[in-house]
Amino acid sequence: MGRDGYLGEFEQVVLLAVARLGQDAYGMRVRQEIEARAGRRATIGAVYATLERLVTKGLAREAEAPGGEERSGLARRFFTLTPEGVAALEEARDLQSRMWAGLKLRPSRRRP
Amino acid sequence: MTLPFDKAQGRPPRVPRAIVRLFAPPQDRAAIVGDLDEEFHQHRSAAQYWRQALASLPSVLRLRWQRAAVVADLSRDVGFSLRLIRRYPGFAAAAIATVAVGAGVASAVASAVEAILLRPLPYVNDDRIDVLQEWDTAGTGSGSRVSWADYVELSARLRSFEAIAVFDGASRTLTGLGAAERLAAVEVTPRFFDVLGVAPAAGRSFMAADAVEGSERVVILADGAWRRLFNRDRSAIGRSIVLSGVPHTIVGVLPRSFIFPSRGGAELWLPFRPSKAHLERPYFHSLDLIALRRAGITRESAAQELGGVVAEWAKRDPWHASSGLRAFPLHDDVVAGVRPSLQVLAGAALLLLIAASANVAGLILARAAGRAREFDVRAALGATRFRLLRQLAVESACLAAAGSLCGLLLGAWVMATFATAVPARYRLRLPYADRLALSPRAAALTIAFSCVVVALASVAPAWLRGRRRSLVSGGARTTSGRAEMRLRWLLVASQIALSVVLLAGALLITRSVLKLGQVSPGFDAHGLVMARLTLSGPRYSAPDAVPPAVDRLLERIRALPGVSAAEAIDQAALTGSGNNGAFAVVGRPPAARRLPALIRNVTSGYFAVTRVPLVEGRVFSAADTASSPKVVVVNATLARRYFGRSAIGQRIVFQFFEGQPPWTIVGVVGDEQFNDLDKPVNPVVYFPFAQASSGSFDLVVRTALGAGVRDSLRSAVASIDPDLPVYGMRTMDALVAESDPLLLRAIVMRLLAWFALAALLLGGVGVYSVLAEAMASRTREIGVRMALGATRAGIGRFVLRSGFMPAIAGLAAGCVLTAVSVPALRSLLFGVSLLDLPTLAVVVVLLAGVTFAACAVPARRAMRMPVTTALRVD
Repeated sequence: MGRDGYLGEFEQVVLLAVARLGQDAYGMRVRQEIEARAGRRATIGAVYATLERLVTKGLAREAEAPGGEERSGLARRFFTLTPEGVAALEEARDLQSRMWAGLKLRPSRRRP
Repeated sequence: MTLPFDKAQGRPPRVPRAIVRLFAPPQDRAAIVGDLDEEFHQHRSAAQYWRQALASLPSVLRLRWQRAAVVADLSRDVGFSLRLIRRYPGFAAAAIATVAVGAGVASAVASAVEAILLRPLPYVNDDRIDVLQEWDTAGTGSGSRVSWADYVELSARLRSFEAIAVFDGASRTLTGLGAAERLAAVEVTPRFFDVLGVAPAAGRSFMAADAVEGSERVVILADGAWRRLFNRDRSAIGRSIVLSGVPHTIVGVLPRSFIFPSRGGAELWLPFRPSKAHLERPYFHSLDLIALRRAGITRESAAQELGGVVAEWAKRDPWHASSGLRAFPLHDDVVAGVRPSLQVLAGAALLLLIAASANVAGLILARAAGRAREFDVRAALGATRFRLLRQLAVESACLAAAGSLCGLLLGAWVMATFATAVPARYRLRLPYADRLALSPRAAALTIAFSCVVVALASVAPAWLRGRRRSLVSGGARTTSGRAEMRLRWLLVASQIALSVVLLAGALLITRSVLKLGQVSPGFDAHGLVMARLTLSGPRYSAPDAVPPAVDRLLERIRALPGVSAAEAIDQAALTGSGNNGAFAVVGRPPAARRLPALIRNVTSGYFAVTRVPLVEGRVFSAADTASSPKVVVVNATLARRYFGRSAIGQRIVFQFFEGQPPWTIVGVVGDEQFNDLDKPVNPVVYFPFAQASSGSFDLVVRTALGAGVRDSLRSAVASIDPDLPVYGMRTMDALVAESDPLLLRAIVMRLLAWFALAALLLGGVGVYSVLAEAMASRTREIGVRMALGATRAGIGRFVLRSGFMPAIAGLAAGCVLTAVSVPALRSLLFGVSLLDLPTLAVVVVLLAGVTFAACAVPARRAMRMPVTTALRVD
């Protein structure tokens, strides 16, 4: 996978959240999913900036749907994974697996 | 926007919401704000809203930057283009200089045209202000002024106009504020400023009572006079100043922005009070009229009403039989004299702009041909056509921007130089000529034109190449395509054609200036000095007081050292047609047409001092006194046109003399030009000063001192009357050299010569650059020719032929173009035919020489190249 296929850590987290949410993956839900599952703070701005980058890389695609009263009638933007997005996530997971395989972590001793 | 949350439920906090809305990219705004609102709806936590909004800002800004990635790409292109400019400084300098010359010159000339010819005069109702003029329908069609009686009748009758006003040039001697000085003045009827829609900056305008004989004399000052005489002191209003011996109260000051080009430079504005002559002589046509058309009335319908008045005049009065009345815009009247010159300059600047554009297009095309391989390689590496086009467009924009910037600087400099070069009298007489500056509109227009040309020339070859999909051709040197080469030769040919037009125009006008310089004004100007004098004040108010006073003055001046003769005429030669009238010949049928002529009053030695030759009869002598028989002298044109044979002894009658006495023609003198040098000489009737004097006259002094006689002349006049200022003093030589027809043509000639030189240089550069590029790309062909036995002379001829063919086509097209466009010069030409073959021949030879010089370098290079080197070039 070329440079464009490289996934940063936060990009992975966001893509995984999109995958987990399925048909319900829009900005607020993605952010809440990350906070709930990963236990880390994420801002709505960071989520959108990352999603936009993923769309540009061709790993996700977006679609808008009209919003209800609870969001002042403003449209929702839903995200789904593209096949390239799925492949990128799998590649990232496999890479981690390969790197972890048979590895036991031990703190290194300081040299004298 | 109203939110669907009611007060009880609470609304999302406005401030953070507005902040996010402000910074989010437009396409993401709804999604992000919607999400924030929705989350607020779930938790009702304003604090969380604030936290989210503020913490999101850096990401939102990053998102905005991502969205603007195209901009980032563009900035990369700009950087690349600037590096290219640095790498090929010669090409960049030539292209930038060419754009700068074209855009700079064109924007300067367009600015001058816009200011003088197109910008409305600074009056509220500029589009409704007309000049009303009486004119001779049977004669030359030239317009004349109107009489007081005409004005009174027209203001009472005409329904098409809201207000009609008279203005009449005058001058007054100001005394009591330092040395006596003569100030230019305009006398106007009370509604004059209403017609213009101008209110004084301080004080009041004129009222009807101001013009009534016996009422207090009042004056309105122009801003310049207020500043000069009173240092803009408001207490000047209400003060009294002495003008020509009569106290006048200052009642107002005109705004600083006020101009009236028809009488530019006037410092005093006075209520017009008709003189005895105005009231008693219905044919004393000395007044200018302006009128304000009623709103909704067109000039055509006003002209119909004027036609009705004229028809009635013709029935009522045979002296008015051939009179016409016309209304035309005040602005047209003001700029009529310079319109042809400015139009010619505008046309020439446009030609130069086109020539410069053709040149820069040729340069860019030559550059593109040299970079064909670079683009082919980039295309092969995956650059899309759009990407390449964008790169080229950015490059051209950089060139155009740099060229335009230099063009603006050049234009501003040309404008400043032009503004200072415009003679003072034009600065006063032409609207806005005293504040000429580069007009943003004109500059934007010419720069846009240059930019479009540069962009088209830059993008077109890549577009064509992209369509042909000719990519890397096996590593061989890529030569420019035939179509491209043809296009470049076409551009060179068009540059040469435009150079022909500009050169021919410049030469034709130069020849006109030379011919005009040879035209004799009919008198010997060399060694003559003129100065104007007005005998005003109570000492000279009696009708018979003027001739003896003039005699005394002339005696005193003749006695000055260095002065050989001094005479007087009411209006000197070359200073305008001035007083004129129509006469009838005694013995001809009463229905015969009245014959128009200029009228001049001269002292008896006038013809001797000016050396106007006597053709027949005699000139005036001391024996022609007020009590002797009434005699006149006429010029040769009058004698020939109205009498055909000898005019001596004929008696003529002028309507405007009391009792209409007959005047006997006793002499015919040579033609002296009173009007402009390029105009035909008018018939003139000279009256002896003793029998028809004038209180305002020009001294004509023959002296070896030239302008150096100024001070002694002043003190001689002051020794007789210290309150008589001598003004408008000039040598007659200067009067001839600075006369309108010569000066205007000289200005146009100089500017056209510069334009033509620029076009010539551009043409030369164009031929050289295209030929050099063409020959470089055909080096191998030249090598093959030499290898097959072509001589070096033959190779030289081959290169010259390649360069000359398009030049010859350009010369031929230029000659045709010149023949088509020269009629536009007609009004500026004098003594030169429209299709002047010697001029064209000079132009062709000159351009052929430039082409030869431009071809010589590539030809020499080709001839000197060793065969082996030529064959090795890939």
